[in-house]
Amino acid sequence: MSELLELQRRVAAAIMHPLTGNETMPRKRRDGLSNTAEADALIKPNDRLSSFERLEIYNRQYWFRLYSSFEEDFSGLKAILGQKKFDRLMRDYLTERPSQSFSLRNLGSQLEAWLTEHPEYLDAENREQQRDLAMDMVRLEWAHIEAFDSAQLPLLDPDDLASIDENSQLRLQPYLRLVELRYPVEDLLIELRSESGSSDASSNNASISRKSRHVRRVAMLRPEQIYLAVHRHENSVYYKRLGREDYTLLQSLLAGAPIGTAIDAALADSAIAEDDQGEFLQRAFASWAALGWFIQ
Amino acid sequence: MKHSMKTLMVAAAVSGMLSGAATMQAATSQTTTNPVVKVGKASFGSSSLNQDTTKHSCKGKNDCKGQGGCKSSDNGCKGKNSCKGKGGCATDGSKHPSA
Repeated sequence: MSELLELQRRVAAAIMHPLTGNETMPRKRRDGLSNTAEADALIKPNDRLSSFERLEIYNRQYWFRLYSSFEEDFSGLKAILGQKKFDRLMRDYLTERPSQSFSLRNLGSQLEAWLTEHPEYLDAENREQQRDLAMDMVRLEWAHIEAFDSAQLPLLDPDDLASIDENSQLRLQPYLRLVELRYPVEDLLIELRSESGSSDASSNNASISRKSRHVRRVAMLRPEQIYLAVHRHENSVYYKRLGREDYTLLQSLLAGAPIGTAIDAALADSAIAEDDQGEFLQRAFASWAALGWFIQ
Repeated sequence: MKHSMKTLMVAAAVSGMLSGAATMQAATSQTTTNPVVKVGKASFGSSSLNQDTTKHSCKGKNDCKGQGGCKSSDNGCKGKNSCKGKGGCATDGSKHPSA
């Protein structure tokens, strides 16, 4: 290993090591290595700061940047949990599932899986309700990120439609995400975001209070099955509610099922009368094609 | 579902795709000449995006903040000024206010 590479790795290890609960650089790392000794070996002191203090600036800045990104990505979850619980969740999640990507965009990629293993982070007075609400929000916020910057591929050529039969597989835009929810968190998220962006949110306390009211109101709603397509249109993300049949159909197509199989799955146990099924399919596929969801 | 029935259903789906593609093409050409109506109404006629229970998630937002997309290229809007008030950028060794 070259001397430069070794230096880069040691600095990276120091910078990416989790902070203490007080958001300072720990004197000793979890593996027992002394950060003081490591800082002395890597960085010269100056007339104002010791080697440890100089290294600590970068260590803290790295984590503050992660926190800032994560908080921005999951502002809906923060509104549901409150700042204190959200902070605890964020720190523990990012410590257990540290960033593995060059892009901060991927910070929350494992959050849903991690919260499934650690549901205690979502606990509140109405435990079940809050957990469901919070998990819905996590799913939606991650789907939003995926929908916003996933690729947009060339559309299916109308000339290719003639060759489609029941065994054909249709491909859908990578930015299309399907989410099943129990609470209307998409409405809540839109409210929260417009709240944050509104000019009358000058008083922080008033804004927090309004957000809490929004969250409480949604949490008190009776759970319902909501099927949502999170997609992109002209560089903006949209939330489009779907019927159960639409959702099942799209889900099957996304999973790679041939169109005939997907139609079977969608219409099994459907409340749509047999005579109306053709019209339903025609309307659904027309809408999705008009949105540019089918690709080559 | 019987084979003949399934064939009919697939035909219905394909005819829907054809009409949807035509709608989209019409919308695209209209967009070129009249950008004011490019979203929803003129492009998608009576089944506009808004009427189709589609909700615009970034209502009231003028920047990429919170939308996630800006991060994939250059982390453009991430963490800017994130050290503001936190002391992380300080060169005088000062600590975060909560520390």
